[in-house]
Amino acid sequence: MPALQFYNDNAAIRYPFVDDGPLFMTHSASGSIELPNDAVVDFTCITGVDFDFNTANSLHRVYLSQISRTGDTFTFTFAFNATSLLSYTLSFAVSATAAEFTRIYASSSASNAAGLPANETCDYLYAEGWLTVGDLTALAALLSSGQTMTRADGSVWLEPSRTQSLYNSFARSINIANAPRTRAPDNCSHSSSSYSDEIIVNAKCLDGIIKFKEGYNVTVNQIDTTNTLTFTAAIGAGIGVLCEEVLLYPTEKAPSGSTLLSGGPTCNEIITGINGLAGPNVALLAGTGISILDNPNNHTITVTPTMHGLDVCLPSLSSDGYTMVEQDFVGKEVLTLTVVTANLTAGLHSITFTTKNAVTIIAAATSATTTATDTNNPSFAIGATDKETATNIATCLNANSNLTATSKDDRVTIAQTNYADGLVVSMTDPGDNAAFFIAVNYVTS
Amino acid sequence: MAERTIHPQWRDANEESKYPFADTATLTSLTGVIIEQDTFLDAHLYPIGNTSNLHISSVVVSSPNVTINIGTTTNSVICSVTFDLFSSTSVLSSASLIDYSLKLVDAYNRPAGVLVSDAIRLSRFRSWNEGTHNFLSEETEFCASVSTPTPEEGLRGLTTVNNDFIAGDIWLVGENGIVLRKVDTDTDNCHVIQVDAVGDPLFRRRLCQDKTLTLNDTKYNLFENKSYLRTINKIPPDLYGNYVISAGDTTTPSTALRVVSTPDGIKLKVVGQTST
Repeated sequence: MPALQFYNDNAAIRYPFVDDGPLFMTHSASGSIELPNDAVVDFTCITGVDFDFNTANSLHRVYLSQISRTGDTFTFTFAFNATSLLSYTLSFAVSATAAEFTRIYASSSASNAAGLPANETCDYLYAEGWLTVGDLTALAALLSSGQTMTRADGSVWLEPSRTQSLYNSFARSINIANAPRTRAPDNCSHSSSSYSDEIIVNAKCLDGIIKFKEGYNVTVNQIDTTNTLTFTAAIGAGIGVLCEEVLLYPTEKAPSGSTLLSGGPTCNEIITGINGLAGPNVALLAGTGISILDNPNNHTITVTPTMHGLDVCLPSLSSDGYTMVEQDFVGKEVLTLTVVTANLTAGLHSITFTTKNAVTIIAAATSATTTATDTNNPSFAIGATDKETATNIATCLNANSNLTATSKDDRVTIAQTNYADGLVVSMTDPGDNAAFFIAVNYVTS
Repeated sequence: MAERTIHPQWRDANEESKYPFADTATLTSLTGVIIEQDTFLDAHLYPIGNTSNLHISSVVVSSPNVTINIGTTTNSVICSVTFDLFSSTSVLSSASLIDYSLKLVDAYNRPAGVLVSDAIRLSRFRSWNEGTHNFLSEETEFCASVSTPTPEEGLRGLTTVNNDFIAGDIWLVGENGIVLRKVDTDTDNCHVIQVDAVGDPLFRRRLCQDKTLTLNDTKYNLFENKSYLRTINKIPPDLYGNYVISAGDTTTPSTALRVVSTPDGIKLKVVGQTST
């Protein structure tokens, strides 16, 4: 028996297709027709690094899906049933008059050049392979120009050993990107979102030799024996500490209302301390004469000049021209009046006290009479001096069982006998451009 | 007498030979078990990193699984395949008896080739004793045409400390304060990637925004946008963020109000004659 060469032998058998019976295809004009064995005598292909082409149990196949003829050109189209490769084919074009055992190359690839610089264009290889055709005479007799033979179900499939899967077999390119920085919303709006999940591409399709450079606060350690790169973050490592923000992309801008790329205020744009006292907590303390009331529920601090503990001149009592309004000295223990004798007129001026137990005592100015009895309508004589008048006022008031009064110089000090607070005082001054008490002072309890 | 040429189909022809093993292969293990020469009809071996002769280094029977290890004289397992002989979902019980290709993978689960057989032929392993059946290289050496040298040149992939394997188009993504940037190509015409650790000042916002915590049926936002106090009466703080509250101004130079900073806080008070 003569020894046949490889191609010659294959021309007589179904190889490189799996011998699963006659290789029937559907002719566009005459229906089912068997593919001549000598049309294809050899085939090999690889599938790309991205595609998991699993030959186990013929799960994935490379199969002849169509032969078409246009003029004198045959196009052999091989397809894949792997999900990731369904959209791609290998198409081999060969002349109907090509020499026997002509080998044709085909590839299925694309690039993603859109929007990227030329040197950052990745070429994506889906598949590539070689097809060797035999004597195409029989095929030419079956298939005229414009006609096709098809078999879409994958039954005309190639021996599994004719395919090499490059899935995950190498690193084709390095692409670098960064997650978006966390940003404070524009103008610190409460409703706006500050974070997007969409990464920001810095560079794509880097291949060839790649170096990692130590940047800010980073060291890169390479161990050749274990093919290991270790990146370590440490303050001041690498090229040191950064004093500015790093742009994630050249046109990155700060949000509106901020000078920081991350948005929000800089340190000197927010109040971090008051009067040299640094936050985060600064206490406001009430000193003499000041009341500070905290209302946490309303986030309110109320500062009131209560004047507690101080001698206070109440402006209303030194004003003239109207009947004095009532002054409520609730919570006050001792009342001190400063007398201006020259402004007192007998029968015209009076002082009214209402004690906490609702006793009303009206002390009236007279020309000569100072009472010394327990009466609610006492009178005091206008003396020759402020001191003398003060003495008379104290005398008439002190005689009342509800009040205790003393004098010193031009001042009269008055308190309730039985209560520490609740004394209400009003004065009658008709408006003669001269107040008879220039001050009403009190002392807190 | 006329001479007639017989053309057996590819697998039929291989069935009669030791292919895909070398002619010199005895296919006999050290335990004396023989791989019948028609068990495998074809093969294509391309484990990454291999430039040596490949052979079946061992067959490990651990019912219901069988593992076929392929190696070299220096690396006994450069790729392997494990299949189930008895499972109802096994390929051996599938309808396709015409082909059963065992997909070989390496340690990183990368495709390393195929061993072509069929269900009936592979079922012979059911009769093998449990255990490991080792083979010397010369006993199960594959022929050269089914082995593709695949030197491990260039960058094949990256592994992480968790042994994740990454290949193809690898994306390195900086996040949580790490920034990756391509900087100018250096004099060696290399791509230079600078790695910066600049931190994420607003990390708490990132971590907690839009998350809530429910306590006692009350839902709390873990993060709320903050409106920092930037001015009081439209007056900003000084360069250091300090704000000054003082008592009195040019129109009331002798005010009784005093604002005093103390270690305990800012004290507001009024000075004057105290009552006695």
